[in-house]
Order: sequence, then C-alpha cells, then structure tokens
Amino acid sequence: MNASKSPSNQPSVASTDGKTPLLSLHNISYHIGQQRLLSHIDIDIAVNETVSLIGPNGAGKSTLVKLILGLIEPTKGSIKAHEPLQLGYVPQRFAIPPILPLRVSDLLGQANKKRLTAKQRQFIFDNLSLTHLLSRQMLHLSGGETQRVLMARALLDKPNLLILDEPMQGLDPDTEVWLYQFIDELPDFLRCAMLVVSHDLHWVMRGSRRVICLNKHICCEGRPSELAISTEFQKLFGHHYEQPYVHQPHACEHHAPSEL
Amino acid sequence: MTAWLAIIAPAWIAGSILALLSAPLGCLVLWRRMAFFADALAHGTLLGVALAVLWQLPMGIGIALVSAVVVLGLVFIDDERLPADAVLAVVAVSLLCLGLLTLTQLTDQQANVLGFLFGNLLELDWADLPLIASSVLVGLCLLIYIWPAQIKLATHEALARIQGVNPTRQRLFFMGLLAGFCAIALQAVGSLLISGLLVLPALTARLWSKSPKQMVIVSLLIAQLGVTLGVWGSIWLDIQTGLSIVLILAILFFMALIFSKIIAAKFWSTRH
Repeated sequence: MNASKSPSNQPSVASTDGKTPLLSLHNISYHIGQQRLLSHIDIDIAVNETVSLIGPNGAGKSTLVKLILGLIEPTKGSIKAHEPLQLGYVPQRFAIPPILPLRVSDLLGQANKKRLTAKQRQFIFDNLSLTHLLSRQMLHLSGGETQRVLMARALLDKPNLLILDEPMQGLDPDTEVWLYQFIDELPDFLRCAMLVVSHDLHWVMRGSRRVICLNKHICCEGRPSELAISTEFQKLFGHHYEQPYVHQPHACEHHAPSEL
Repeated sequence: MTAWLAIIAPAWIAGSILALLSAPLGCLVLWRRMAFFADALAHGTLLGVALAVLWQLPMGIGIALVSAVVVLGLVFIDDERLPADAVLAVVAVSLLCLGLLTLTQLTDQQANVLGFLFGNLLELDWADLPLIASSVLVGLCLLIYIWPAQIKLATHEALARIQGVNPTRQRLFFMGLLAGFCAIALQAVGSLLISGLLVLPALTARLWSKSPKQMVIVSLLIAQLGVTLGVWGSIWLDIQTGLSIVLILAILFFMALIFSKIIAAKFWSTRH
C-alpha cells in the first residue's frame, strides 16, 4: 500500500537472501527422560529466508520452536547465532488471565518502543487494521483479531527472526489467506528470516520457500518442487497432498485452489 | 474528636502508608496467581513472630527465616499429582497451627495473640512511623523496578522470556517483596487478614478497570478508603484494626460487585 513511502535504508538488495547465515542448529537432540522428542537436527536459516516447518502431530515441531526461542535447552548439540538475534514470536495459543485487564494498546506497549519509527509503527497498525482495535480488551477479541494483534506485537520488536507457530489455527479461510499474504509481502524495513510452523500444505507447497519436514528427525528438506517427489514426503503427507486439500477434518472446507 | 485524632493519627498515617504498597502489590498477586502463596506467607509470619520471641531475635529476622523455609519447602513439596492451591492451603494452616502453638505454649505472649492474629494498628505511636515509611519506600522502589517484567510475565511467559525476562529471578524478587510486606502488615491487619488487605482492593478494582494502570489506581483509592474507615471503625466498635479494615474492604467489594452486576443487567436490557 505505501511501499514507496516505507523508509528503507537498504536500496533493493533483496537478492542477498539465502546467502548470509543467521542461525545454525547443529546436531540437536532433545530428550525427556527416556523419551526422544528430537534427534540429530541440523538446520541452517539464512538472513531474510523463509522456512516452513511441517510434520504430523507429535513430530516435535513445537519443541523445536521452543529450542530456537531459547525457552528450553537442548539435551545434545548446539545452537549458534551468527549475529545478535532479535526474536519475534507469534505463539500457537494465547490466553490472557481474565483477572488482568489489558487493552490491545497495553499489549502492544510491551514491545520495544525504540526499534521502529512512528511512521513504521503506523504502517503495521494500518496494514493489520489495528487502529480501531487499540482500546478494545484483549479478552474480547476474536481469534483472527488476536492473531493480528500478536503479529503486530512481534513485528514491533523489529525481529530478525520471526517464528510463527501454527499462526492460522482457528482462523476462517479468508483471514488465513489474508494473513499469509501479509507475511509474504512484508515491506523492506520489516524484512526478516521467518520460520513458519504450518499444517497448511497448500500455502507451504505453493511458494518456493524451503520446506523442512520433521518427524522427530528431519525427514526431508528442500524446495516444494523437489519435495513432492521424495518418497519420505509421500509417506508422511502423500495422502493429504494428492487428494483435494481439506484443511482439517473438524474445520470448515478450505477454498478451492482456483480461488487463490 | 480532636482528642481522638491525636490517638488515631499515627495509626491512620501508618495504615495509609501501608496501603500505598498493598494496593499495587495486591494487583500483582492476583495477576501472577499468587493469592494462595501470599496467604501461606502471611500465616507464616505468626510462626516467625513466635520464634523471634522465643529465641529473642528481632521480629523481622524470625519472619524472614520462616518465609525462606516456606519458599524452600514449597519447592520440595512441588508434585504434579497435587494441586498447587490445595498444597498452599495446607501449608498455610500448618503454619498457623505451629505459630499459635509456639506463641501460646512456649512464650509469654498469650495476651497479644489477638493482636498478632487480627492486627493492632492503634498501638503504634509517632516513633514507629519512620521505620514503616522507609520500609514501604524500599518496597515501592523494588516494586517499580520489577513492574514491567512482572506485567509481561503475567501476560505471556514465553513472550516475556524472549524479551529477556528471567522468570525465576522475577519470582524470587516478588516472593521476597511479599514476605517483606507481610512483615510490615502484620502489625496493621494481623496474620490472618493480610491476604484480605492485599487481595480485596485489587479484586474490587478489577470490576472497574480497563488497563493494568487503572486497576492499580482504583485499588489504591479503595485501600485508602478501607484503611481510613477501618481505623475509625475500630475505635468506634472497639475491635482489632485488621478486623474493621478488612470488613470495610469486604463490604466495598460486595457493593461494587452488586453494583456492576446491576449495571451489566441494565446494559443488556436496553440493548435487547
């Protein structure tokens, strides 16, 4: 919308993607007692690269996210950041304790105030249509509104690594498409590496982003065009991918692909 | 009236100073779900006082000792099969029993037991005020220092940790602050009613606030009102100050609750 106005200090160096490393996970394992949740994970994420993480339930996706966020320590292996990390995180579940009165503006006020200019902050508010929500109580927001607020909360910290953990859970298909479009088209001043945990194979397979399939270990990894033919991928997701895609058995039917 | 004022003034001022700390601290206790913990600490102060009298230590040392044991004990008891609120309730009653037993059987403080249980603010004189004021000031400084981190933790722990908040450190700060507050508040409202003084104004304020800051301001006003009316009430009814302060706060809470329900009902009836 106002991409021309957006104050960017790096004139069209968009092609540096995928070259400079940002974060490296080296041979990570995570156990609880005898139970192995993750083993031998090697992942490199480059500056400004978008990586999608997919995998069945119980594959350890959320555990991996917690490891990268530094909320838990790996049993084995090391995580190395090649430049100071500024993390942004949109959690899968977000529940405010009802005893805490919190307006949207109070939650957004918890973000670091110095990292973006007033104009840039306004850009986020405008594009996520938050301005009319600011004085609303967090408790009274719908699922989609909460997701938009959380997205803004993460972006206001101007992260260089943004982690979205199942960001589309419980959203209606329209909001979902809209939110995916938003993160696909972030302006230059918000450009960052992204790790998107997703069930939505449709979005994952559509783009040319790198995809990592996880099932306690890394099953396969690569661009969607390479993945769909890999046998391991077929084993995990084949039945999903070949049928007309239905989002989740209990959710409403997904848009037909032609509408997108 | 003026004759009464001379007797009441130190108690009133001390109570008002205390309410400056109790109101914001009470909000945090609710937001961090620590009401049961505060109650256990408050009941522990009685044992702290009893041990201090028994071993001829300053009361602050006795209370600090018991608080430290309570915190360590809770870490030890922590068992996922047992609900934390029930465990804390058990700890609270055990401490109360131990405290009363020690105080009545092993010391010569039998005459003061009611005061320790329900508070005796009127015994204070002007000479006690500087200590109370400076303790509250220290408490307020610590509270302001930990405030932003505590609100972030109350909102969402993972998001707070990503921003560099250390939950364990914050929890210890907060527990220490609570223990310190209990030590000061013991004189005013007594071991049994400390959690009432903490929680009631904040609970009342929740009904009428839209942001954390509003809730703190409203609970400050309510706590001041409760202390003022409570100190006068304790003279009028000749009862322990803690009893009358907490009673007033409870009345204010139920009035606010009924009032807010009526308003909510009217709001809905006009909309439909």
